[in-house]
Amino acid sequence: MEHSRRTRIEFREFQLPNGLRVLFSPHRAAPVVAILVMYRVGSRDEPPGKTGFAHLFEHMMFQGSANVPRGKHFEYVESNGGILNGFTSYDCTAYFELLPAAKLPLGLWLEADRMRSLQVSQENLENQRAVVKEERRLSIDNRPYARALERLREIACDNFANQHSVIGSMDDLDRATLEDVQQFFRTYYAPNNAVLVIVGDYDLRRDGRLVRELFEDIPPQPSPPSVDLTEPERGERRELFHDPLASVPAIALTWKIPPRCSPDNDALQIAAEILVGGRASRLYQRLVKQEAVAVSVSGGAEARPAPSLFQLFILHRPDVPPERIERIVYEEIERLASEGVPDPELERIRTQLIARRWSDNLYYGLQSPLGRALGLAFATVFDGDPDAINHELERLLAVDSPRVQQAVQHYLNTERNRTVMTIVPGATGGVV
Amino acid sequence: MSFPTTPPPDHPMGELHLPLPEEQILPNRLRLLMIPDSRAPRVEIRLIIPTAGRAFDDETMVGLAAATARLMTAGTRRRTSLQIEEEADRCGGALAVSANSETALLQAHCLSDHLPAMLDLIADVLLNPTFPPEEVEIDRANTLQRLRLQRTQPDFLAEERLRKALFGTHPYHRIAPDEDALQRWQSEHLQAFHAGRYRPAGATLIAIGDFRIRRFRTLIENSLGEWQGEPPDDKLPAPFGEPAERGEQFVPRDGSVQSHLMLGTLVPPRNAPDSLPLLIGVNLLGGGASSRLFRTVREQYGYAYSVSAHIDFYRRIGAFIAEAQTATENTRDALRQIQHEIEQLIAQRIPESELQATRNYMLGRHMMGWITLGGIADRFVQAVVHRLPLDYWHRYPQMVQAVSADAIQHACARYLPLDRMSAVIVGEPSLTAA
Repeated sequence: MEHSRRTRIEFREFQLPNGLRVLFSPHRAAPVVAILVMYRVGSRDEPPGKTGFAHLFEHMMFQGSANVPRGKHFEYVESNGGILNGFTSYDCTAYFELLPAAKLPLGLWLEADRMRSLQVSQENLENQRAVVKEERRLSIDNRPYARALERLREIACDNFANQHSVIGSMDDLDRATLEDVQQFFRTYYAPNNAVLVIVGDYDLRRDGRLVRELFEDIPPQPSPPSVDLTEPERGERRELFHDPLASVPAIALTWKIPPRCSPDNDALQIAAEILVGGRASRLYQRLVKQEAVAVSVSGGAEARPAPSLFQLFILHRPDVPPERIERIVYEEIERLASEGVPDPELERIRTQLIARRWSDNLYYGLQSPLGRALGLAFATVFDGDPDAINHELERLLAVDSPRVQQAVQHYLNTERNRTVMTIVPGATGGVV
Repeated sequence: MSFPTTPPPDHPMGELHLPLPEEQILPNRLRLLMIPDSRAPRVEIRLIIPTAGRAFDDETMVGLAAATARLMTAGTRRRTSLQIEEEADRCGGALAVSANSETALLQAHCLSDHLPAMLDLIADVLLNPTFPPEEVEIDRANTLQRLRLQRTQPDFLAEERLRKALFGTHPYHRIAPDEDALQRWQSEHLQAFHAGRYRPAGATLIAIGDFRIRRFRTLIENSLGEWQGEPPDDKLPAPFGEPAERGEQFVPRDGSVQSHLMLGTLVPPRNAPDSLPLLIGVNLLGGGASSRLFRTVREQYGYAYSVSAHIDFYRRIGAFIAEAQTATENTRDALRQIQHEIEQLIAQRIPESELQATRNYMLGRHMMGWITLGGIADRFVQAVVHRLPLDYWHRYPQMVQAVSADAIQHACARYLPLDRMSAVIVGEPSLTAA
């Protein structure tokens, strides 16, 4: 297993005088190249009254810049054989293209043009506001359990920066103005607040020079304001949620946990694998198979560069009271805290972690240049060091049973910072 | 140097050097397609069982094929369901069987060091499943709940209704188990379906990854050599050439804040001569972020976040589908706009520049499909399922470039007229059908 475990992502890094961090990482497995620009801004930067703005802004980045008329960004990329997208999270916003290798100059030109000269009009803003509202309806308002989970985060977190959803509220989306868009662009979309990652089949000398030519005269801006992300300690919080779109009852639980890359977050990543990582996991086996009380079990430990949540979501059978599910969850947490994890179980999970690096997903893992680019960008933006990507696996493989026990005991085997939401199908309650 | 106001000079996309699988047939007539590829320490495996999919369910047992596939991993003569999961995990992999319209598909992957153990597990699941009664009961109860959950989802309701409109009583209309049948089947039914339909003759195993052909063949002979049986019958009723119901079908959904729109009709299968021209036309219509539907329905009118068109292929027919989700008050306007774009596609000559852009879009997607091992495996699954020649993907770029605007327009005019379409709207109950 040495090959699979040891593979390093090699990279070259330099910084332009305007503060833009640039990473080149060779990957010649296919004649393609990934370009990714990640900006240090996410929903956490939104003040009250402006929820959803970072994501609405992401849409505006596809609406035209000085030399790329509206609609042409998509066309340039797709008519040259590329795929593209962007995403907004709590902590970052990223834009990417996966292109045939010969098209690298085009992708760099497109990213540079919108970083230096985004151009938006009231008409474009109105159009994308409507599109984002449909996105909200599609992903939240018209979907069972989604409103409940949005609400769950609002009550699980105490700090506004962590509480609100990335998609934001309809009212706040309505309030966004063209001036907000311009101000946001100036504040956050500066080269010194971004990292540019290029992975694939390139020529470092030629393409490094091109990056300088295209990006180096974009002026830097004052550093954006920093946001307080701390979460206070608190007691348990509970809520009953009536979901008119749902038909099967559910229970969702969260606990606050420390940020990514901390020893305890690493240990809780392993705890999540033990408890809900797939069909061999303890909660799946106990709830779905042995006691046959649950329909499905999912969850995991977030790894934000900020206080994160350990989350569980369990769909259960209508004839089983949620209290019974909750009790079993606590029993398994208690058992893990008191007895730890036997070696064969831990070894099995470690093998899965090693294998997962080689995932087939285009957006994750070592097979895809885009997966590598995203990993490097997260390591740079969240951990301050692109090489962190090469230590992530070692860190997780180093977690042993006592560390899992300790972290589970401290963060999960407690009512402290716990939030429990029972979700009842139907508008007025009562099990359907 | 000042910033260039025009894009950099154009370079050709470049070419892929695609592998051709090594094809061998075992004495039990299992066909092997093997592609050694050491870019990742991993092996991807796909096993296509051509006649164990949902269309082969008996009328009185709709859902049995899917349950059989799903429960192959629920226990064997040698392993419990938990032991199967643990073994797959220990291989750094995963293993699942699912039923599609015609085929059943076993999908597996593992770290290459663990290939022998994974093949042993695959053989156990394939040859010795026992469908333990207690696992069948758990699956029954949870499938019922999942079915209830699906019936709250607009995309499921729309697809279910559209398939019924397109296929009528033909088995292709099935996407979910019959609730009554779900209450009835027992372990013996699953065992019988498995024994009758999971046969090596006619099946194809595709493997790509870090292995050597000779060793792989030996491992397969050792693990699957004893698998025996004649091919089961593959007779399905001929699909109808025309949709069973045209016009508009409305599915009320309480509390909907958005309507799910689907427009569809029947088109030729993937290996028909008309298939490629039609596919290019459908991509031009709704294949990406520079397609006509995206540009108008989303970027011009803001009716939808997601709007697209594609073709679902079955072995002997295809289903064209255009879909969008739009605010309740925009339902009519969005539907009209989609219909308008389909009419324009038929009525107006396709500009060469837009056609070339669409060809390049499709060739780019093609190229991106060859980046990962699983992506490559899935290309060959498509080739096998749709009975395309093994070098189909090697010739694909030239074929796409060779299709003319006339051929595309001709195919669209033949298959996509609005009077051949069924439209489904899933939405707020007050929005009744026109």
